[in-house]
Amino acid sequence: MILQREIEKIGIPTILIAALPPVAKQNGAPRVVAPRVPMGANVGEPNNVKMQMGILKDTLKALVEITTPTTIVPLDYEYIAKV
Amino acid sequence: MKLTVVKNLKSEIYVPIMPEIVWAPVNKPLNEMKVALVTGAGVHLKTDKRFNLAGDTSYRVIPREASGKDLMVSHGGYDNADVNKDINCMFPIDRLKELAQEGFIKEVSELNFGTMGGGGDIEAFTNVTGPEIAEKLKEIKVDAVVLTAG
Repeated sequence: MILQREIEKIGIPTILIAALPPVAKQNGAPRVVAPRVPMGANVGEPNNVKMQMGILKDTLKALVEITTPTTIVPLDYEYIAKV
Repeated sequence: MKLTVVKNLKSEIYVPIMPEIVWAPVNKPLNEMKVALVTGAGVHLKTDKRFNLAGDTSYRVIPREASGKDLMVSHGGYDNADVNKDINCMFPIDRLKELAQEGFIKEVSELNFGTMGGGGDIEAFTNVTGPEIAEKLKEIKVDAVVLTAG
């Protein structure tokens, strides 16, 4: 979030894929997507190309669609890691 | 949308103090954008220096040519089991390249960045690491950045 804000300040639009949306919100991230994923696999299950592509595509779509700063868009993907 | 601003208006209940808004508008469609990846997940080239697991405010450059087998993770703050099986679950470089091939985005940035996030020296990240990465991205005219583990 800190890095994200610095990059946004210089004029490049950014979007964060957040595993912990409340933390992203508290730090003032400009655009956030939040799939239901654990901290160790923010972009989805390892080797699940379909899930990763889906999350990435929805992230890029949200980048152009979000108009209000600090918006968090939940994404309907779920991965529960086996520990 | 225009907001009415009344200075010195106070809230009657406690509300969190939010950081000030930073915003850079999007001015191109996705299929004309050069997209870069920046991560705080401790991803770097296998040939590059490891991050200090106890706290590290430096960054590593990851060229577009790298793919899963060239990258590794050194991060003390999360379970690396999944990312060791497939780097794309924290740093989706292969997926982003596939999207560029499909034409969903124009191209992947030639430079991408990895840091070790998870707290640490906030002032160093805000005043040194952040602006350095931002400058480099601006130099190569990146249009958008996707972050994981910011």
